[in-house]
Amino acid sequence: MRIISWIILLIIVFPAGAYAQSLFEGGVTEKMESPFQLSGYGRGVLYTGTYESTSLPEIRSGYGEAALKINAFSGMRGKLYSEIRFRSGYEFNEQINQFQLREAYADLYLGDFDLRAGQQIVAWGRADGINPTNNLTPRDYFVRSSEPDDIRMGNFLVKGRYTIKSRIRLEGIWVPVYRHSVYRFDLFDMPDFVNFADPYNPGAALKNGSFAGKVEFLFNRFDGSVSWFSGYDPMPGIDAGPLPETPGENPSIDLYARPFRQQTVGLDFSFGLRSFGVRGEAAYREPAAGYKGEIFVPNRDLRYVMGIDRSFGIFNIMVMYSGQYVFDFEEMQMPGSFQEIEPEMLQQPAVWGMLGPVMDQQLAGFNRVIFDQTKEIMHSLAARPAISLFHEVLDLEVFGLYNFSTQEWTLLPRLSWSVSDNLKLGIGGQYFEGPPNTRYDLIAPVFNGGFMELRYTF
Amino acid sequence: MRFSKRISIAIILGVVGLAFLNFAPPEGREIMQKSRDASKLEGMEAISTLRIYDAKGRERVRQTSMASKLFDSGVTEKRIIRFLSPAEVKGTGILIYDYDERNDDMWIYMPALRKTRRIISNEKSKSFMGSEFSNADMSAPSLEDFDYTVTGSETIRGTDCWIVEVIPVNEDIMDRMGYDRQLAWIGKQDFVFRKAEYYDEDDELFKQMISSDVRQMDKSGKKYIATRMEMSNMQNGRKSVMTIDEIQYNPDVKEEYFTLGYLERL
Repeated sequence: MRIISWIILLIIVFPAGAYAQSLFEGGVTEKMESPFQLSGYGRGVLYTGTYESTSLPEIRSGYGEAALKINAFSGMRGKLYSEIRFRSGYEFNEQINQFQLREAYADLYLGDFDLRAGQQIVAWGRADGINPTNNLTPRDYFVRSSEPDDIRMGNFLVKGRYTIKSRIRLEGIWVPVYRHSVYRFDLFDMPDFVNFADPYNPGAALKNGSFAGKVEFLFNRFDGSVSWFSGYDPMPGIDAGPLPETPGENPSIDLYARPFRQQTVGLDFSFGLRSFGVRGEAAYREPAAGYKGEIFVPNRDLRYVMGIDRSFGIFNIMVMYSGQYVFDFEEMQMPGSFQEIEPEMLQQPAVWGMLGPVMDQQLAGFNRVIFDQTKEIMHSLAARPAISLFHEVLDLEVFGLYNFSTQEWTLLPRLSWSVSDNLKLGIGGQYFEGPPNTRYDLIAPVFNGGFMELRYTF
Repeated sequence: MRFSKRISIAIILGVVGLAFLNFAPPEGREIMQKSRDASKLEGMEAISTLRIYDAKGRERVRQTSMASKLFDSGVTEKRIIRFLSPAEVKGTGILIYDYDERNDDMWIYMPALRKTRRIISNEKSKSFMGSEFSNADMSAPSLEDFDYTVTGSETIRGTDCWIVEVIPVNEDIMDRMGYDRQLAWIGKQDFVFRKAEYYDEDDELFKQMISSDVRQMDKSGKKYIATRMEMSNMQNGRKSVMTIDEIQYNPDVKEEYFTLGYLERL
């Protein structure tokens, strides 16, 4: 009888203990008046752009988007979080009605150990914007949004983190199912006989998982980490499907995104040097043995970034150098482009016979562009001057980057006006330029233009 | 006789010396050290509201939740600040490791970046969330970084105060703090700031802080907190008021609050 009384007492007392909150936590979780905290935004976005190509229509994107973020049962032992978005409008010359579960995960906190499982976004790297160590979750490079975070996509993964004396953190990640980055190859100028097939996805199997680990150090005046990744690179290359022996009546070539396995070891750091902030990152990437030499796979490379930033009252400037060294690099002689071949020419056996090798070489060249490996050594310099006016009501910034090795450059100006605490107006532009067949030259027709966004956050 | 004369002189000098010690004002640094000690609580939690007024009196409101705790036998004070509203900044958090004898460590977590970023010392002079307070006002600077001189006494709203002139020891620190000279009015009994004036490179007054509603937090240790701070910009007419709406002395505040892991839990 006494045991039953104890059990009843525990049942009554334990939940109260489990949810008893301090003043600080109560503030953070809004005193738990409801187990659900809702936030989000609604926005209207307009992108304008023109380009010279005559074979593609002019791009103008305009859409409305609503996002709902749900934080549930948030407490000292865990929480549930999800973000759903609905976008409707017009994008890349198509009508869209797009539902997206951007993130949905559960957290478990066990003292110094945190566990997070579900659809989530992981962003590694201490450098500003260019992060060679960030290989975990995919990206949508073609999302039309002024918010840099929107380029990131969620993926299902399990992340564990153990903190030692608040100064060292060990992090382990398992990505059981591959999800590739979005690269809209279909937006580029291609002949009619080229068909973009569904991307190749490695099946959900234990052997197809990716793993990553990181040791992070938080010292006095210095933060840094050493990281490792082994698995499928979220950014796939482009491969071609097998060609039939004869062209047939309606010859077609299938191109599709094809991922590859790789290993990356990296490091990053940030510290203060007098009045300057210094942030840097470096990563060595090596494709797995079974993939080396394939046309859709990049060479081994070493990527490095070093930036400094400084504030002068309302001004802030960031200057960043980024470079890359490609191992085993060989200059590529580009043959005649298969894109220039007329469909009727494909019926000629001689043309059809040489199409495979020509196409492979073309794709190898295109993949070099995608993976930024068109030169053995590359040097780029980026700068971002910014000014915050009227006490953070009006923010202006321009990001500029020049690649000394490829002569590509970009300018991304942006103005943001906080009309009120909840309402923000953003206006800006994107301009990319580069010599023929460089990456910026290819994406310029798609991206060059201006945008306007009006967002209400709640 | 000669001996007794010497003794008499020694006694007189001693008495004069003691009197001098009794009535001479304490050194500026000593006052600042006591001021810092008075505000150091074993642990506390609070909910604050920051109201920002522009020159036309238009108001913007930010609400924060905060906790602090002493570590390393009181040498290090760790503090975490989490923004509760408005929605645009909700989830943003700041973690501060405030050391007595060296520059503090400060990190900011911004949900939109999904990363914790170390705040470099130079960024401490920047406005704290668009207010007249600076990031530096959110943590106590190292005492070594300043020269202190007691310049007099004055009664501020009924409290007898020392006036201490505080000057950064070099230009780097001036740059970091965002002022060239500060005058601080510190209560003689409780060592709580009642007023502070900040002067720019032309020695012009550009900001003034008024602290009020002082609460005694820990009777045995004589710990005090000003629960209302008003920072006025004398040059542009803007004003920011930070009020502590709820405060709780809690030496047992959880240690796990003061980690980057907690900061990143949104």
